[in-house]
Amino acid sequence: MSLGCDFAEVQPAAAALRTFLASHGCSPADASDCEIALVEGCNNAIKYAAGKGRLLPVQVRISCSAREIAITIEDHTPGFEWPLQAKLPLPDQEHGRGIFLIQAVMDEANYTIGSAGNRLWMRKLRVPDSPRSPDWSG
Amino acid sequence: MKMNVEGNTVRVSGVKELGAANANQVRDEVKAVMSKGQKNIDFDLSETTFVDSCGLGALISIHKTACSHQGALRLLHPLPPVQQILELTRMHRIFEIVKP
Repeated sequence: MSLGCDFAEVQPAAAALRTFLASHGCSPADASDCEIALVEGCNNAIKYAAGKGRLLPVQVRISCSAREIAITIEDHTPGFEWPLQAKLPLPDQEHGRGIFLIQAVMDEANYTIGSAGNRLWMRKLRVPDSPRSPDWSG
Repeated sequence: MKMNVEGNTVRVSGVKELGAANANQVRDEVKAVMSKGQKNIDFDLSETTFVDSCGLGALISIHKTACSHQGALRLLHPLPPVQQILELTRMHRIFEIVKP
């Protein structure tokens, strides 16, 4: 899906993600984690877009298999160096928790800078439903 | 969003989501009321289904303003997704949280 450079488009994208993951039988916990990662990734893509980059859409791709959920966000920001492990800012700092949250809820994430745009790729390994779930087949 | 003043306390409620799209507006509206003398904020999160890092920033800003007025911010009845965000960012150690 494509998002305009507008924060108002992020929550509808999150809702679409929830619907998509639910239709693929993802657990509520996995869906919640992916929603956090998607929102934080899109927020950064929009916040830091500059110049002509603000006229270009943020491209979001989501894939879901039995084993994992993958989310890709393509942005048109100047790009930045992805930290190996983001640290939380001081408690009174109002910014700087987005990447930490992505890394906290996703199993893997990386960011590549390209001439035509940058790409944030995030992956969540799916957890089987609990034994009491009717979908459990283990 | 609704705001009710009860003595020294402003009760904020009815915020469905607190994210990048509305965090600044919520922050500014709450702080505008506080500039009229109220020092405590009760932020009712029982209807708030999502808070992102921008929403957290707004709560931190409100918290700092309350503290500067010798008051306090309390977060009331956060739903599980919001509680998750608070715990992941360790803000549950900073904010006073009132659970149902």
